[in-house]
Amino acid sequence: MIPERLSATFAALADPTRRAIIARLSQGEASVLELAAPFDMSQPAVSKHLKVLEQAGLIARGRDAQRRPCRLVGDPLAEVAAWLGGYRQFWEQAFDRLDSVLDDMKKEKKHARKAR
Amino acid sequence: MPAKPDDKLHIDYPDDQTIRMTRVFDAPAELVFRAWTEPKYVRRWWICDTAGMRMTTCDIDLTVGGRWHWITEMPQGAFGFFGHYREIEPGQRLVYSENFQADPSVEPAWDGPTEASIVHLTLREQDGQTVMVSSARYESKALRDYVLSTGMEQGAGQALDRLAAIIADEAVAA
Repeated sequence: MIPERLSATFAALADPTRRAIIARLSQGEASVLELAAPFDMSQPAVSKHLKVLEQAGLIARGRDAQRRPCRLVGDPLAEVAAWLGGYRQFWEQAFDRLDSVLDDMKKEKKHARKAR
Repeated sequence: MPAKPDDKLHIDYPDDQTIRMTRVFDAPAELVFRAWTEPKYVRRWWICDTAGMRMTTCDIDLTVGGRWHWITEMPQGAFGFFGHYREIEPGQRLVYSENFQADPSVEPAWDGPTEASIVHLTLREQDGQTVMVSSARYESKALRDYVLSTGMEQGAGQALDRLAAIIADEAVAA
């Protein structure tokens, strides 16, 4: 399975409006009105996109009832880079090998104990 | 068939200079610590022996301020990693610097002005299992992002193969 969060990141990045919102938020937090301004889009339509981003855990919204500023959470692009690059795969494979080395070490320990 | 990603390894980014990996191992912390710090074990897991890669050097001086130096040879050339151990608590915690060595035929800059990254490795044992957290903080976001994207060209192809395999599996399961 793709890690759930990464699926959400891919889904979020698949939409140009949401990509633009993420790009804007990487400059700093913004209100819905501020986010809607550059797009030819109603505020509810932008809110819908924000909901997708929020559910994906990519953005968080402030508590201030009036403005509810949005900000980026985590680093979705780092996650995508790790997925596309070899980093994650390198360590996944190394740790799988480490699992079997540890199994051998446990057996060695058992034998050593018996031999005593 | 391409290898499938597992859910065992969790990677997250506590800040924009850090890569944090969390992984549970089915072994006591003492053994996990030894597997990270004794060359005879490191040699067996860090590099895949069958992919034309070979670990030619695995020096570990496990003392505070002691050096470590790992070199891997592959058909396209060799590369190394090196650094110093800063804090050592057997079975619990290891703090070390880590630098990349692009050309292992040249002696590494042991006492260079900056360290590329500092790694905090912590082990927490629970019911015979060990939760390992490895947190690597890089000197800049640019370097961290470069490390993450290393092998992007080759990796992206493999990632897409994996994606295709996952989607095929999910289609069968549905």
